[in-house]
Amino acid sequence: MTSYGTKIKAALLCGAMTLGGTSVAHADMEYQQVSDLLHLVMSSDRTVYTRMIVNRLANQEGVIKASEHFEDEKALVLPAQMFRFGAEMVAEETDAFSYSLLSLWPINKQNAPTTDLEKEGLQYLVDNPGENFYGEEELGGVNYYTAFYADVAVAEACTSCHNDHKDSPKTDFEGGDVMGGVVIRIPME
Amino acid sequence: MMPRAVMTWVVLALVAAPAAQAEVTLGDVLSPTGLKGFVTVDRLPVPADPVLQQGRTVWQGTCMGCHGGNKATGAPKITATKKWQPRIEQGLPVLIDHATNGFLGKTYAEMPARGANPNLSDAEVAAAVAFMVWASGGEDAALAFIRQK
Repeated sequence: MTSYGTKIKAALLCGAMTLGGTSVAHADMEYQQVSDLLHLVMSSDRTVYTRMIVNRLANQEGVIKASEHFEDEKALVLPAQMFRFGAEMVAEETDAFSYSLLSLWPINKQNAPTTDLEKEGLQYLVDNPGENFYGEEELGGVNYYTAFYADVAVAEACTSCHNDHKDSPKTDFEGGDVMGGVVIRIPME
Repeated sequence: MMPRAVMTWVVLALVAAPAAQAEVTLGDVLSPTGLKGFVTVDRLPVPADPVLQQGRTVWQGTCMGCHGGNKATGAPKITATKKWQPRIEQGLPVLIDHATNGFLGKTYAEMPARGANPNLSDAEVAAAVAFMVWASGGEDAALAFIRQK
């Protein structure tokens, strides 16, 4: 795992997270801390959606199901889809950071790693359970701080959906496997 | 008289060597909140009982991703006695039933059936649960359950 002590003005990101123009924080923060906090918010929101919406309504009460084809089937979006929709909305709102859900074995080829650091980071997550990966990369003349967080198969729905999907390049996922990773990218200039 | 530099080296060697070779015991890992950081299997003690040893192997392959300390899943972390005590009090048959057939907790956190690994046998699931209980403050309960079997 690599770690960098480069500083970032928290206000830089807080500009994208302000309420009524009031900055959330003013202290200097390191890139790693910023990305860790962003990931905490993302993973918490996704977990709450999974538990309080999908698990409660689909698994416990059985009033609606969750499906990849949520429009055709009048169903809830899958937690991973909800996560991606959030990422798209953030990308429309700010250039201060971006995030995505990538995999070495994506169902949708657009979610495969494209940079060398993405390939290295995702492989690191697979090889080192419980650890994150941090690095820097230059893309299009801009230096980015990029953080990787493992996305683990925590429900039978995760493994069965990927294993049974016609476009999945890997069909032997088991519970507890790292299926991919959340990638957070912050421009350093 | 031994030169100070040599004596320092000898003392350091005596202090460092046993620590590096010491086996991890339950006493080293148990605490109310459990081991710090993510718990990988190599940080856990190796039980003498063969059923628990099998459970340790199954735990590494299927359970560790969540019960190693992945907070987003809501899974109680192995070695965290405060989280495990009320669960252990329910008895291993209940915990094994939850692990085998799946379970939704009070906050709708999901324990997937067989840890989302349908290839696991009933015996493997039971062994993994027994190991997790053993390594989370329920040594007596785990060993009694195995003896009963």
